[in-house]
Amino acid sequence: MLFSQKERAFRKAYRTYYPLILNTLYRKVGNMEDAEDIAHEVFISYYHKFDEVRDTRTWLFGAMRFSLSNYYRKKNSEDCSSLDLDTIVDEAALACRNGDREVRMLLQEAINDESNFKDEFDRVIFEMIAINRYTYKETAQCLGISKRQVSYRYQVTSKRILDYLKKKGISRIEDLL
Amino acid sequence: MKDHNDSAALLEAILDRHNLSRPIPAEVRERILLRQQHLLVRILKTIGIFSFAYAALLSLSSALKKSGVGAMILKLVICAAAASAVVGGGYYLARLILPAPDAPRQEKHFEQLQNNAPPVQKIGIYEIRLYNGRVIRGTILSRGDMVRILSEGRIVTVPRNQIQSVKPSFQEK
Repeated sequence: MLFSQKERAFRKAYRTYYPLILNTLYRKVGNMEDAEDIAHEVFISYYHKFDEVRDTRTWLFGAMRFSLSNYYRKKNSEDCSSLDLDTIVDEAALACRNGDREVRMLLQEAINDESNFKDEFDRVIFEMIAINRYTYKETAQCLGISKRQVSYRYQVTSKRILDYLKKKGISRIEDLL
Repeated sequence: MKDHNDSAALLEAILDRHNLSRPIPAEVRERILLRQQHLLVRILKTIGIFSFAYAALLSLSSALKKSGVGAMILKLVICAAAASAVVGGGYYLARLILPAPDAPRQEKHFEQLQNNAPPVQKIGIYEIRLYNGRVIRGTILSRGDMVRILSEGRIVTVPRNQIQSVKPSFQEK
């Protein structure tokens, strides 16, 4: 084999989570250079801890959260003292001003429920398109699959999430608009 | 599929309505996509595992992306090449092991080999073993119920049912 199993698994994880990590970091730090530096640090830590990692997504986002807090501490220590880390990372707390809180929680629950996604790849596709508004083409290019596959997977996932909401008692989905 | 399209559009509208979407500007998305490989190379170099093989792999994938050849097409091409290699190899192996339908029978081929062998020449001498243990070496003159054999300058006649085996015997000239 040309590459070890670890290297192949690392490359796969990188390809899968790179856009999500970069999107989140860009939104937090506001510039690509710093976002790349933090992502660089996160993925290097991931490679070194690879054998201990059980859940890649959780580990990567946890490491990102830690690196972000370090970044803020270094960058602006006086502001950081008044900054709640949860508000840095968890946007759910920020966004609810106009909407119904219960509906938001239900939607969050649907998005976070693993049973609504066939696999992790579907989840990444959904987040890239529905949350970050990547086009099908961009998503396909980033994940190294065809546009047709992206489109199909995304649409099936969307249908599953709407079915989930119906099961949770929302009879008319249009009412959520 | 139309139903699925509607589902996706409806869900996106709901996520927008409840401020759950976090759109990334188009220019940033483009930059993120462009920098994907660059950052990977940077990470691999820092870790110390960047090699010529990685460089070749990344160049290949980059070239494929630029040329618009999707990963699926590449996989299909690789699968087709592998399948044709297996089929071709199998066919070649079968040709080596099995004779062609119109090829001469193996006995003839065996005789040809014997004839081509320079130091040994066949002169029609057989080794006839009888059930009583007697062995006669000679040339068979005629076959039938009584077999006539020319052996050591005289003709020997043996009933066929007394012959246990007849083997060709070669004599150097």
